[in-house]
Amino acid sequence: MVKLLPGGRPRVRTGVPQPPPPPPSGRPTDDAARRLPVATSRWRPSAAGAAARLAVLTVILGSVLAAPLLLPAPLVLIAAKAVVFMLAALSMNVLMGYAGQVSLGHGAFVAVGAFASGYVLTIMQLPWAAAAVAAMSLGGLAAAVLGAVALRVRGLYLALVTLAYDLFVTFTVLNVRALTGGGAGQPAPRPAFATDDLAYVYLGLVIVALVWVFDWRLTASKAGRAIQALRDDERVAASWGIHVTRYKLLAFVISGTVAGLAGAYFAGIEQIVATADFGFTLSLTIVLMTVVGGLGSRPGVVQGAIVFAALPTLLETAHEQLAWWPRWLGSLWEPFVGALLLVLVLVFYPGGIAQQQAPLLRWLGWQRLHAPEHVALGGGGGGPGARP
Amino acid sequence: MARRPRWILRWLRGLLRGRAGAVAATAAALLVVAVLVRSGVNLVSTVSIGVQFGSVYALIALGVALVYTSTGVLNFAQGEFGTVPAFLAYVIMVGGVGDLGDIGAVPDPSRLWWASLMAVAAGALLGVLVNVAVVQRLGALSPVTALVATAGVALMLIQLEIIVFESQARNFPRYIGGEAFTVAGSAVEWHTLLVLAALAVTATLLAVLFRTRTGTALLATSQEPFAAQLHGVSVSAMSTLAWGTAGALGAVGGLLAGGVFEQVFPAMVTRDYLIPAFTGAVLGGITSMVGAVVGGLLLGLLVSSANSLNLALGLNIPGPPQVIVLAALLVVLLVRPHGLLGRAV
Amino acid sequence: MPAASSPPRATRHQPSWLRGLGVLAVLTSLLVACGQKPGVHVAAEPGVVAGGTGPGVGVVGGATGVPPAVTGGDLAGDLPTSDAATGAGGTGVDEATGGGADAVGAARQPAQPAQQPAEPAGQPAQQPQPPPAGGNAPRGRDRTGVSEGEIRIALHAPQTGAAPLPTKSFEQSRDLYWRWLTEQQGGEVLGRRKVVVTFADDKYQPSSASQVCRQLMEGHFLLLGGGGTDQIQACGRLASARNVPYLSAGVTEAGLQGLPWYFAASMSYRAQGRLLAQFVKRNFGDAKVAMIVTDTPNFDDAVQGWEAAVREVGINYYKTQKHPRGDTSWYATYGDDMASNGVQVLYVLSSPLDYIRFAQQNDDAGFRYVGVGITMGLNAVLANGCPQVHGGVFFSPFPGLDWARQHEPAFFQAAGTFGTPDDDLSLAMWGLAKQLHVMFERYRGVHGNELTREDFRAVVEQQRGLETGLFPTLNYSPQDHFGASTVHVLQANCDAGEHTTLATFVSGF
Repeated sequence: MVKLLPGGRPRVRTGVPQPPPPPPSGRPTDDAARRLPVATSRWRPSAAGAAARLAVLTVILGSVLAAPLLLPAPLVLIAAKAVVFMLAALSMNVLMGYAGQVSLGHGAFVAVGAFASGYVLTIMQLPWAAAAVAAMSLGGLAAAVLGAVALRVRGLYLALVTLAYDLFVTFTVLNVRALTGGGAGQPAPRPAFATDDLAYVYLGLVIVALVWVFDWRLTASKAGRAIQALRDDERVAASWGIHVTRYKLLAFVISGTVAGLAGAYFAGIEQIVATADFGFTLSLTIVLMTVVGGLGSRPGVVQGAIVFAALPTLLETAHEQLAWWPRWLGSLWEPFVGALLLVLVLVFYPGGIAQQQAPLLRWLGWQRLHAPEHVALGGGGGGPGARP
Repeated sequence: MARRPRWILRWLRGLLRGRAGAVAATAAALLVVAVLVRSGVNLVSTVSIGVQFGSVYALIALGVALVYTSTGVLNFAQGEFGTVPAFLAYVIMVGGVGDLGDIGAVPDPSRLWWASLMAVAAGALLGVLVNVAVVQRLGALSPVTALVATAGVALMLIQLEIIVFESQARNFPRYIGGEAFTVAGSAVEWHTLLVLAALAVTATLLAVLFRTRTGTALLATSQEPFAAQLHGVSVSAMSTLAWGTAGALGAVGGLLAGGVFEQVFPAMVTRDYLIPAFTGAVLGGITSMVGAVVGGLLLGLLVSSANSLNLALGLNIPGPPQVIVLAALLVVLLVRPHGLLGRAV
Repeated sequence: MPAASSPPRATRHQPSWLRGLGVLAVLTSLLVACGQKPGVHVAAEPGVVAGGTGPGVGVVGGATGVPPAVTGGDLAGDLPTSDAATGAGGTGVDEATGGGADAVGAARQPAQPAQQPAEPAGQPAQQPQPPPAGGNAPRGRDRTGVSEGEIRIALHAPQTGAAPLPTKSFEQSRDLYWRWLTEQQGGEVLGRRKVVVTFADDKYQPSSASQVCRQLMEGHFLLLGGGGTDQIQACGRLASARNVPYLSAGVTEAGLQGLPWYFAASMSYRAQGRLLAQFVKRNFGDAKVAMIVTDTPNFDDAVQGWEAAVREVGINYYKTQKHPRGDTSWYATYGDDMASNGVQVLYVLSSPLDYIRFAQQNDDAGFRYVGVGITMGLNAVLANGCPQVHGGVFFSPFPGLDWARQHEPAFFQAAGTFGTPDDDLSLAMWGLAKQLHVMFERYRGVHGNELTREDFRAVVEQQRGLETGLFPTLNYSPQDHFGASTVHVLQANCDAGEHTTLATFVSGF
């Protein structure tokens, strides 16, 4: 008899984010949830090492901040698209990377957030902040519904349910005209303080930074470690006294909330949101970028998101400007290249981008460049110290 | 007087033992029929539409169940095992790759059977290829990783189709066109009967396969790979067999799906048939071949009933099929996770 | 389970520090790297100009004959030949006299001082144009896309995505008219020798359309919408918000009616509903009629216009049935419902793909299909839909190729010269460009060659009798930017593989 693996955990788990200094806590579940007690956590870099790390972090942060300025005006919104993808990937990472729950319907949460935002802005005429809050709440709610199902259904079956859920949302819910404006779409203006493209992109970067910090604190918290314990084995986690139902639902709600926020931001990019923007291709693309980036690693999935956001333009640019570039390899190939990346990553580099950068990310995370042997097994980076 | 009910109850209980799934399905079907009749739906046409779609669902579901049973992989690329061979048949019928830009090209129906043979062979080859090139290389396999990987393969194949055929629908012939007969004023098409017949033949062939030594070996491998290996069964040969057969099944499904609208278009089977097929497989019990057939057909009937009801009652719900697919999936997973005919895990 | 025996894979690829840094460096440079060039797929080929000519007026002269209607069984015989003098600047349908130059052409000449006498199409007109008569200096300031030597305009249309159109024609024929005019005919446009047309793929999605239109507005004087109701609506609204002139064939009025910068080059779906009801009543009498329409707010006005006309004309009507978007399981169910309720004539307003599949799935019901709009009358529908769509009658902003072969030979010559497709979509692009050319000529009559967006808009909305002989005659007013009142009537002919033109410039039945 073939059995489903409980929890359906992807083998590619990488980057077990280790809290460097374990926050003091008296609850035994904390110790239970914390995996691989790492001796290196007490290690501190020398003054020169700290300076070097700070310098590199500053350069990275600086180039991220400067990137939108360097883009020519028509392409600034690619950075905005990257913001949406980053948020979606971080959201997916909570579910797939931390909690080990696969979702093939993540596009549905983004869609719910986007249309919630459009509805609040256009029909209810409320300010943007209210729209963002509504998007997050409804995204979280939509995910909580799915999370409730996930309490009973696991692994592959859960993947199927998320897929059917995605279709249900895109075909049925998004076509309820009173809510979404039907096929014509719902206008969703930007907030008054960020109507300019560049301002909107920086608003997005601020949102990403906030979510990043939230995610970092989450992984360092008791709840975060409990969620990660679910990924490995729910029964073991339960035996450690972890409240499986509560933390699984929590993971879904957090993930859906962030995805809803991604949707609200997405709606403002073109200031119109239409049913045609969503579909299972979007959901799969979110899975793709998260896996390619490296499950469980914040820097990894964010980079994966940037790759997928930039890929069409990169292909287009290469196609038009590089003499040696194959003539046939235009932007039409972008979904193909993306899917190929996924398959290659799964076959050859299960840890994705994060695995490739593991030493670097560890170094940036205020640790040694080369980890002790038993830690290297995870392969992934994602040191929580890699600050935004 | 007091004893007779007890005797009947006992008899009924004995009859029902181990057949709860079948009974539940029958009851659900009767309920659906009752609702349909009450709302004045044309039953003949609803059933005939349901059978046409359901048979294609079932063919795809058979491939899904076969691969799942033998290798533990839920194959998202199963839909493209149907679309790609259908496109291949189209290319053969329009006489090669010379003029693929002509969206109005009319395939030569006289080459249909020959093209179908090639398509089924290509489907089998594609199945084996995906298994060898991707699935086998995933190493120690988590089912979800494999699902994501096959989804990647499906996306690649879909995009290739779009690149070659420009997301345009292409003409595709039916094996037999026209109406077979008319019942109560509603025509039943030959194509419906053909799809049903194809399903019956394939299911029978599969049943026979599982009775042979090879089939037994296949089942043994799926259940205890290590033990099977000890008994001299080649695990890799068995997985090749399963994927190849699934590819061929997918091709048959794709060729018949092309006939439904007399069109093939990129992502055709994945978009319109795969998710209902998955659901059908789960509904019937994903480890059961008979379950896949029953589940696929049942889902086809549910989908067409949902459309009919939506229309007859004037509900104007957008996307009734998607509602019914999600509902069916949830109900079966929450109430009877191993499906109507599957064995409890 | 399959053997879980292989060793943990992760250790095999022990990453090196340098490689990690390299990957990071590559990734962080991605955003910078994409900034090399705008993402819009620019494919403009400028044309060169000398001399000038009127806006193809010569073609208009003999442009009203109705070819004998030959197809589709009983329909062709009953076709109306309505009076020849309806509509302000336009004409009704002439008797089927076989075409040829007649007096109607003169009546349709717009009364503009700058107009040249009609010349036979296809003959180069080398004489330099007289200086423009109207010499008022323009008041506007926005000269985006206008320079000394060229005018840049842009076209958005679906090319990839789920677009049900043979979409390469948009891009390939985008500047055919202008190149023919400037390179072949030696014409000038507002004294300039080049009209550059940039094409952008809107992927058949409203948000993609908004994105490309936003980019196109930066460097182009005006936007043209090629097709797709939702996309045209999205871009039309965006254009009006940003004070950019926008021209497209008429689709929905929802969200576009009243926009100061939007101009429709043909009748809206709502307005066509009245003509269609008259057509149905006249040709099908008391046959039972129903409508199948995609469930989208952009078709609401079309449904209203049609239903009002149905009541007014007195049609034996079953119902208006909305169908879900993007789903493929409803065709047979809905068709059975229609057939069992005795429906014989069906007005289909949906994507062509839905129409084709519906017709295919309900082959045995024998519905007669009618409709409005742009895409249903495209010959590409026949490529996929024959034989089931045979005989379907659809209104169109541009005439069929059979009519154009007689009356617009310049299009075919130009397509042959420049090697572009000579299909109906290219003809539509040709007609739209011609319409725009007439507008530019009118503008020249008022403000000369100094072109600004503000003045262009102000001039165009005052114009009446904008004539091209292809698209309907336009009579704009500041209150109404849907200036057309005529349609062409096309009938699907599977034997010929294209639509047969049943009637041109019809304003009533």
